[in-house]
Amino acid sequence: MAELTREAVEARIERALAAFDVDTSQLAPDAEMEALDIDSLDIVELSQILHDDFEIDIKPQDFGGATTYGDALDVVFRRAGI
Amino acid sequence: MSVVFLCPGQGQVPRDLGDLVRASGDDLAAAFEARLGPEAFDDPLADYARQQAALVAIGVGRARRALEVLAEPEHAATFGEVVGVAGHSLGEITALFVAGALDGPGAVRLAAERGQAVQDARVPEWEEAGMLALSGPTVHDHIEALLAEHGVELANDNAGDQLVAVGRSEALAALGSQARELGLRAVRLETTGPSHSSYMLPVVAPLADAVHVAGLTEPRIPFWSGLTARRAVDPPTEIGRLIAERVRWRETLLDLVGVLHPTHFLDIGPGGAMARLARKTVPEVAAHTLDELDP
Repeated sequence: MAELTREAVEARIERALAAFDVDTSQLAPDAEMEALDIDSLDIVELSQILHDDFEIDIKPQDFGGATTYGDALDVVFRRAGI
Repeated sequence: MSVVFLCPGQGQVPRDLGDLVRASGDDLAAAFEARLGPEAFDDPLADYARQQAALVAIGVGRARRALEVLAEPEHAATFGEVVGVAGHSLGEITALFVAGALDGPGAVRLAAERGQAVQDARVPEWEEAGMLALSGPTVHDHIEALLAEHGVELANDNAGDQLVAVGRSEALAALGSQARELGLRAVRLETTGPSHSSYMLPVVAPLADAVHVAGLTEPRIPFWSGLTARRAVDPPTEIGRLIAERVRWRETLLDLVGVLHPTHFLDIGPGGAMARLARKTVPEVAAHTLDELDP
């Protein structure tokens, strides 16, 4: 399992989003998920990656209230307890 | 100005489902409790009947809110009249409510019957089945060959770059590997069963019966079928059959636009997946989400 720190998790998320063709130069805490073109399939795959790489118990529905990238990171950090 | 409502299906099931049902509306929560018992609020994921009834209760509550929001002067001028409605999979039951063919509690009861029919048909073979989302600009070019080679079925045609396959898990894993080699994305979906496939054939007749028993009235707002991708002519039969056949969502949107020429779509949510799919398929029609109008 990869080291469970905020930095490591955020770096993995950025790598995953780049692979999903999200423009990672636009990632900022207040960037809207919609504007970043992060869709529900991206969230499903991201949840699977975070579970596989960090054993974080996170489901796509946990991102339900996340409208910005910062909200989404908060969800992940909260589920990871970091 | 005119608007077509889009009602999502099961999508991502919220963790706080029971609380959302309680908040959906007193009559909807009462129908849910009367059919499934008070304990269903505490564990709404325990079976398909609870889960599907809960999702439709939430959908109907949101549809009511959407109708209120659109009646506000600032939105009424922009959106105009509701001229049509379509639902994705289970969302067809919510769409029947929007169409005026079923009242809210009736929609919740029908969703419970749909879930019960699926529950009753469940066999151990379903444990070894799943669904796989395939996406990429060339996905439609490859899909027929992939389905034939791996012996799986197409469950959803969601957009020009997004399909969902259903079949045995082993076959889906092999299909996913091959799809990735072709430059496609393949994402395993968490689902409650191998919906929209031949696994569900035993559900078709009981579900059609349940829709008959629900006693639909003539829709006041035209209702489009995901089975035919046309305006529904026989909702009980079409809704029954759809559970075992492909959801033709992309074609449904194209036909809605070709026939009704709406200026707007409104995805009642939760989430915005239907609006996103609409933007991909018919970008000339402005697609909104309820959350965007009513944050």
